[in-house]
Amino acid sequence: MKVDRATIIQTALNYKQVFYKLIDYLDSSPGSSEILQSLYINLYQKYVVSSGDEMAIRVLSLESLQKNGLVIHSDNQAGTLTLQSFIIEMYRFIDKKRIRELSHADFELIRKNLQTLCRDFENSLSISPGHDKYDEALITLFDTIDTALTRIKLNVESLTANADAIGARYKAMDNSAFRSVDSLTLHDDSEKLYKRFIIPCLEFLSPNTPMKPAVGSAEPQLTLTKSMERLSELHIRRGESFIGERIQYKLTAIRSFYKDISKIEKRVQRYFRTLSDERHRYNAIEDAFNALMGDIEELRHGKLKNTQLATDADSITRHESFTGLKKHSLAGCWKINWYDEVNNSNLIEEWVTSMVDNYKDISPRSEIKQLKPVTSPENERKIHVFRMLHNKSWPDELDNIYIHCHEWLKNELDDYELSDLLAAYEFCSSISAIETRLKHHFIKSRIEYGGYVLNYHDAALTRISSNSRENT
Amino acid sequence: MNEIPININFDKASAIYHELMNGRVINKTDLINNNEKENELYIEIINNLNSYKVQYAMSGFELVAKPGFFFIREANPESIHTKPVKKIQTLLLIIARYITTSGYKYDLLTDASGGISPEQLADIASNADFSEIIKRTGIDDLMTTFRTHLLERGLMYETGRGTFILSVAGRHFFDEIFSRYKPSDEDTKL
Repeated sequence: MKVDRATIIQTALNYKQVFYKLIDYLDSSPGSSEILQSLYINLYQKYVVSSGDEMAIRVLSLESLQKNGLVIHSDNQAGTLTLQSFIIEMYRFIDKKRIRELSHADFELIRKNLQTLCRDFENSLSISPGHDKYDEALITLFDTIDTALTRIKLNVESLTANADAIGARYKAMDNSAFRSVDSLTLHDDSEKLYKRFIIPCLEFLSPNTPMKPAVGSAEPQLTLTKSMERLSELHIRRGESFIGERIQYKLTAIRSFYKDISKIEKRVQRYFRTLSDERHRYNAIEDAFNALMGDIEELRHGKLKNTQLATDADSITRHESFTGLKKHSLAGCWKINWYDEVNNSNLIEEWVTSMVDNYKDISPRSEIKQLKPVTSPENERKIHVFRMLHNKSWPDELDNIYIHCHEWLKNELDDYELSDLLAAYEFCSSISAIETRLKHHFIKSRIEYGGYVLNYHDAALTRISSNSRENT
Repeated sequence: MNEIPININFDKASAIYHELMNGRVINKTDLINNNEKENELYIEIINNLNSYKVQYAMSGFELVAKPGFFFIREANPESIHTKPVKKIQTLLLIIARYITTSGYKYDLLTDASGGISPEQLADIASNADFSEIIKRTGIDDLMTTFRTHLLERGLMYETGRGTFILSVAGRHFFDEIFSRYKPSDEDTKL
């Protein structure tokens, strides 16, 4: 069925999502212009057929697109089809995010075309308007310049849209309460946008980009700016100022995009740097963790199966922040650091001798009355609670040692106060037989008594087990 | 005999002794009402650093000054690599790995409005990926070791929301990891 092409395009514009998905498919396989027939048929069924739009169902069927020239090639054996390129470009034009950014190869092609034209004008053409050869070359020159201008303008729009999209994702990530699910992919996307599309564009537009001579040629290659400047100057020199100035205006228009690209570059650079910090931290933690895992894996084999990781394993000693940090307990910690042990006896002898010399005439000692140590009422109360708890028989296990002590002390003491419970906990924490069996939980609880409140984390008393003691 | 330096505050010196001898670190800041406030014990040491160094040296310890925190270690130990350090480092690494691979930023562990929750710690304890490491490091009960080795020693703070964030000392451990990690040139170039 032959259909007016304008009708097909108008109908197709009502089903943008179908063609956007086809463009996304093309972009996911760079270099290919072929689309799977099955993909089109699935999208056609999902969006067009399900809409019930009779006209669209007829016009956008695969057969109709083939007959009316919107599909230019169909390979039934491979199950692929190729769409008219202007259809793809039209949808890219509508959705800026889907405009294909110009890569280094695209810019190189534009630059080389202009360089070739520049050398043709300089070496083999006489600047003489009205002559066929010159006129044809001039048309080609302005076509090339206009195409470059259009493509660069679209490229700037595409880069701006993509930088905006990255900015929106970055902002969303920043506001998402420490979530970083997207940060690694965002890092890669911003890096790709920066390195593959922004930098080539900046280099292309910059008049100062250094150029090496082509292979097998001593003559330096020309930048876009240089080619256009030389073409402009050539025409002005030969009295064709109007054409020379036209080329100059076009060059100014192309170069005006440099500022826009520079702004995009700075934005993306900022995102990239912050994301790089996050990625660096992620990678560093992975690296340290993998080193630890590596040492653990070595213990999986043979006789080492039940061995614990050594304290001097590489994955442990590579970190120096806490090297030598001491154990918890105070026991055995006190000692005087006599550096010169050999002379200790001499020092003591000298001290005794000097004491005897100084105090030869010592009067008889009067009887010294020993004073009782002074203790505060609070301390006396605490000692009393300690004694009670010391003499008490403790069960093998308790779900909550706080509740147990609270209830028990309440029964035992007429003037029980919540501060006695604090003394009880201090007792439990300092008696090894109890402390080693305490198991703390992260459940917050609260006891109210006598107008006071005690907030605490639950602690259970566990049975004595040879393996349960944490080596602190 | 030298006089005892008059600038020493004996109450603070006693508190410092109690902290350090119990294997705790003294951080530059404490977390109070979810804000980091200057720790007066840290200031006391900083103002009398030499005196404190001498005091602990005479008792057979070395007062170790790291950026933002102090701790002590034995002056002549049999080995400088101790079991507590093994457990501390392993726990910190497991926590950071859990956070970063669960889709969170590392900042969760440093910002008082974030922090790792007790539920997340319980999730780590029951996570099969970490169970072998925990066992091989000699950690019998992750929750208990977390409390005794990280919280009580001052390597993590508890926030007002009941979550836990790294203290100055805890952050230093990761700062060291970050500064020593050398990424490939490709990762850094722009």
